[in-house]
Amino acid sequence: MTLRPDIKRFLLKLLLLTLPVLLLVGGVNLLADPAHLFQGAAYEAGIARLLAQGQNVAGLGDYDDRLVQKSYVGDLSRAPDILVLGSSRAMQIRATQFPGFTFFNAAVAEGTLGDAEAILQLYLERGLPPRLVIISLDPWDLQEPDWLTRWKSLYRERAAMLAQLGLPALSGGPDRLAGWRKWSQLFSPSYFQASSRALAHRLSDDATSGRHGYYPTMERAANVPIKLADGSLVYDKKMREKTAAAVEQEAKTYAANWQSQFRKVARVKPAGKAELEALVGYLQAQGIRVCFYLGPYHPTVYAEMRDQHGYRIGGDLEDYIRELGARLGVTVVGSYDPVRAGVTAADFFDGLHVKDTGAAKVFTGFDAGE
Amino acid sequence: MTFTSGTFLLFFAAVVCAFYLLPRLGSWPVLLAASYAFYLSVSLKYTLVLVLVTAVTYAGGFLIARAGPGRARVFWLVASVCFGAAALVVFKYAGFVGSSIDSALAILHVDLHLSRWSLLLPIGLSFYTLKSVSYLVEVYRAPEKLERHAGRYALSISFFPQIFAGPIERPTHFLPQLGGRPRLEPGAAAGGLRLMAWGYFKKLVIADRLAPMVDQVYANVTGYHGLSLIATVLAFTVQIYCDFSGYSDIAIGAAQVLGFERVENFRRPYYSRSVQEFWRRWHITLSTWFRDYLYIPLGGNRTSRPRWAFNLLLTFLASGLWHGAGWTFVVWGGLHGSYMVVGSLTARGRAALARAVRLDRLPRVRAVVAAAITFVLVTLAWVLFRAAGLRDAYYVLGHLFSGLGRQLSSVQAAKEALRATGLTTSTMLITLGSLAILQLAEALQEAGRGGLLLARSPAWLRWGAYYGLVAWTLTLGVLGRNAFIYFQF
Repeated sequence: MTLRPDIKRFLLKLLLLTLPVLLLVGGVNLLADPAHLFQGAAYEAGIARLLAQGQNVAGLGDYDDRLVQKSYVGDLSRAPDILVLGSSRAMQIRATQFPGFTFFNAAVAEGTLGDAEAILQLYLERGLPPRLVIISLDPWDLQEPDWLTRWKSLYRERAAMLAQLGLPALSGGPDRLAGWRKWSQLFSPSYFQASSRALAHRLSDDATSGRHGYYPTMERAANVPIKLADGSLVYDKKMREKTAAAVEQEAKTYAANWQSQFRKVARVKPAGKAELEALVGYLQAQGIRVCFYLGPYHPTVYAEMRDQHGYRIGGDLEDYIRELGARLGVTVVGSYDPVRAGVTAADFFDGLHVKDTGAAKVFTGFDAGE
Repeated sequence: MTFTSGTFLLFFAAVVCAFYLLPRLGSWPVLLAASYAFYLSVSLKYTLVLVLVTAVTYAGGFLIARAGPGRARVFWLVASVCFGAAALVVFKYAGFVGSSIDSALAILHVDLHLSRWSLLLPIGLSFYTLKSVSYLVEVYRAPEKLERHAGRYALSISFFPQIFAGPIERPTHFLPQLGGRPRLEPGAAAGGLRLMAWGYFKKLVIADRLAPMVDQVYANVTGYHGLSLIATVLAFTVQIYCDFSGYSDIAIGAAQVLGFERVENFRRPYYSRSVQEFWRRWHITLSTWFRDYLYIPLGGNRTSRPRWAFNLLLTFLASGLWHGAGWTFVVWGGLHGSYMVVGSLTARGRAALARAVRLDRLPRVRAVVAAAITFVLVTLAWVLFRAAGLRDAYYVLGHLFSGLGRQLSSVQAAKEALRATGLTTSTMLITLGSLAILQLAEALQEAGRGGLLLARSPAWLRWGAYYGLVAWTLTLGVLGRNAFIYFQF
């Protein structure tokens, strides 16, 4: 096929314009790789190793929480007495709230009941059952289909747990395109932005952070977030030092967005109930004590959410969880209702994340050794 | 798959290659397959609605063309338009009608809960319905415009660059361009790519950077007043222009790369010196649609004064309702209609006033004053367009100046009022810098020197401008954010 000279010129110009851009984007993404897409699970394994050595880890970039948990369990030689499972709303539960016990907080970002099942499977497969499991239940946990799907990083583990529970297998297979999707980020403009920032940060940063960006630290609070050796999270300074007005504003915005954010959470689904009840029964049969933790919401958010048409977390959900707890002998700690949980607006980082002071109030009087 | 996703860029590159590398297939098969693949990426159910509307209006065209002149043809036109627009009515307005009846009956303590009829609107339905209706009317007016080829007609309705949010190109303008084999015209293709790049700049760097601030404030308007609200109202005025005109630029540019003529949808609307002019520059394909298929058939301005005012108001109310099934949109349309009527009725008085203050001797100053007044009127109307409800809009308009004096009493107080909206220093600097670039380009275009200046520039300057625009968008654009505002309509 012979091309017209003007088309040849045009294609050459197009190539001259796009090729340098593609090379720049691809090169920076590969070099900086802030989400560690092109390194396998090495980044997460490094974090897990430090945690397993009992060190706090600072300077964490984007990472897969689930893979950290997987590597962490792989590095363990002894099960913790207390294991916390849940979402970011449970990350402020700390070992200091349970003196005299070994403790690990395995809550993961956007955690769901599916994550809890998968992480428990990791412990049970290694023959390291904890004595007490604190399951933090969020309003999105008891509904289906799963609209938070980050648990798929531990697809095999969740599938294995569901089989143990005698529940139907997961519909749809594991995310087979995950590998392809990661590599498709090589030329992603949005990833390029994150890579540029990471590269600039790395070039201007001191040597402590090293190539990975994270580093072990003795500090328990800093300008950057710190994952403590007990698995809990200490937010960065900006988050910790928000003014009360800023927190109130964020709570109002969250409350206003509640309907649209959780529009899929229509009601407590029977299948979700069955899954939770089967999990509790299975754990109890293994001799593991179970406790439900209901993380309180900011008063402004709770006032909005309590009686939302179709999904009343104050009514349908919490009442069900309390009824289940009474029926199966599971202690229920806390409440979505901040008044009932004994916390105030001052105990919140934003509309849905309670501070460690708030979490400590919720667990006041709780006997982990019962 | 939206225009701002990396997947779309790959998809578009593949379509362009297939289109030009398979010329023997002709123009329509590759584009029709691509258009349906593009729409299928959104939803299979919505694609079925698209197929249904296409089939009904395609058949309607035949029935209209074959009917003899007179009542039979009118009957088939009305029937085809009703059936063709039925999906739009059901999906877009059933919930609105239901909730309005619920509200009215609530006074009598009757709850029929009719708002449950509310359905999710298939993306692009409002746009392709208007396209198909315009086709039916054109066939009614001139039966020889009937398109017999089902594939070509389906493409004219579903053409992927235009399906989500226009421009609403008339099928009778689009269809004649489908004859013959595809032939790459480097000049036109380069122009299309430039326009796409410009659209991405407007959308990603300006519109999406302002979006979080606008979303935050309009989600909870009662938490703000004074400067915070003024800044947000202005931000939305900029956001909606850059969002929608950016989308249009990408759509029109993509069509141009594929060899289609450029359709004008925006012509620097905020330079307008009257609301009437604004509507000749804003969403031109929609304005002309309502002009040609509603306003003129109603009698236009060739009628009595009261009837003309009625025609105008009705047209704008319909336009408002087309934008959204909600009272805020209806009032927004009505407000613009009122602007137009009042503007026309007071034209002589305003001219006399200009003469009295001798503004008529300073035409440039007069133009700036007129543009500023128009901008303010349009900006205030956008509050209705963006607010979650009439109550919120009323609150915003009523609190624009609340506490403003205190907020402007010190730099610190002003900063705090702006920070409360979520506006950061970096957002402000990037937006202002980008707006400066936009204004420079638009001022040159307005003066008729934009394209000319670029074409006559030395190669290094042109290439520098291209690389600069790409680099600016890549580094400062808000990438990975959500869809375009007009997708909801």
